[in-house]
Amino acid sequence: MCLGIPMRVMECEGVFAWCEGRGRRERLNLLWIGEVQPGEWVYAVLGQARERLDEQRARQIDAGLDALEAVLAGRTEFDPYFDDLLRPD
Amino acid sequence: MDPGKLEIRVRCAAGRIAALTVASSRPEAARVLHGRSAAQAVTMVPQLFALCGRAQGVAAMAARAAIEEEAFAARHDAGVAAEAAQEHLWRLLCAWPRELDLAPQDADFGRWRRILAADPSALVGPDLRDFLAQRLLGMAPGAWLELSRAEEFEAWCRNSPAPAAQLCRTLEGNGDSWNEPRPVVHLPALDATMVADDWPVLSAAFALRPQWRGRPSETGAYARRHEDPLLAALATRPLLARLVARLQELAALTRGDFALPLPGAVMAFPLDKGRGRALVETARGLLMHELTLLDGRVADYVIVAPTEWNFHPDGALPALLAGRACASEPQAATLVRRTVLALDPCVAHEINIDWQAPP
Repeated sequence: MCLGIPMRVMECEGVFAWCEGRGRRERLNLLWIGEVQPGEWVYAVLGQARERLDEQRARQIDAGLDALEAVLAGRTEFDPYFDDLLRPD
Repeated sequence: MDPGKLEIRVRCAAGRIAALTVASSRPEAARVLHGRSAAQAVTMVPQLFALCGRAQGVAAMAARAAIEEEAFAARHDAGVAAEAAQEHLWRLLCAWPRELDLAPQDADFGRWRRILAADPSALVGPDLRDFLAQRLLGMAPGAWLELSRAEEFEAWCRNSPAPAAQLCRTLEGNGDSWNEPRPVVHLPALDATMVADDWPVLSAAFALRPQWRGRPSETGAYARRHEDPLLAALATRPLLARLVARLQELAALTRGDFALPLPGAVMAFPLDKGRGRALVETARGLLMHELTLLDGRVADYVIVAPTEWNFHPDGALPALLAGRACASEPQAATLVRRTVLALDPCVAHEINIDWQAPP
């Protein structure tokens, strides 16, 4: 399964946008989702913005990735990460 | 969070591919679900694995439902089919044209991607069939699917100005032909009994290197359709056969002919007490989820994704490439890149070629 990350659009350049998320800055292709505005959230996979996200969903995915990082690092106390993820939409 | 990647190392000697290794550094992400409640796991799966989120979400829900209802279920999921069609369109309208130096149809892809994401039922509407007829196949999808004899296909491939025909003949003209391919085993259409008998329990180790009856096997459009007479006739042109399989599958999806093994097929069944398994056909192939609950908590969760089948170190990639003649390092790189694209990994990959010039 293919893990992507939520990123926030910082700067648009035609069919690309500079985005930031989880400590990374990346130039994403907007082929899948079309035009975006700075401030919007997108789901980024392998250089492509694959989906638009609302801020809450972006936070939930972020929390899930935090939990995953914690588990892979051998930490088991990751319940706090789930609070946000599991808040109903 | 490092999503991992595939590292493909190819050694060329005496003008042939002498050795190939595939190493995967993908994390065992399903571990994050251990200890959660079943409801939490089902919520979390499509969030975390959002790339094919619909298929992942459906698989998680179906595996859980199989435990609770203790019954076998099979159905077609329109959302998973539409998600797969977007992937096929992407490859056919954007990725393959770029790879073959043809004009990509980015705007068309963007438009259809957005339509299908908003309304999965557009997959079987007349507009998409018209689009495929006018802008991809050069004829109606139904009529194109009737090109079942090699001569009819060759005539279309040679003469049609349609973008898909250009893709096929450009790929052809670049030395896809190969007279002695090593056989690639295809994952058969699986039924619940076969799956339960052959794989009583899935494990993380199996998920990393899955096998069918002791053999690494290919999954995806070509495997689902490899008994098709046209694909059988194209067997010595492995890249073309896989490209055509994807075109056929897209055409069939838009016609709503879901009796065939197509993306969107969902099957789920209970195993021992507290254990349920779901099988979902996605664009890239078979996705399996197995959920084991103990006192309402996730005791084990195993996800077997198509990329692990298709990029098994002893699977389709070495079978398609080992021994192939390459006149130069760039030619070897092109062949490997195209074979990887034909097998379509869902993670990043890196190709390293160690070229030892022929004496």
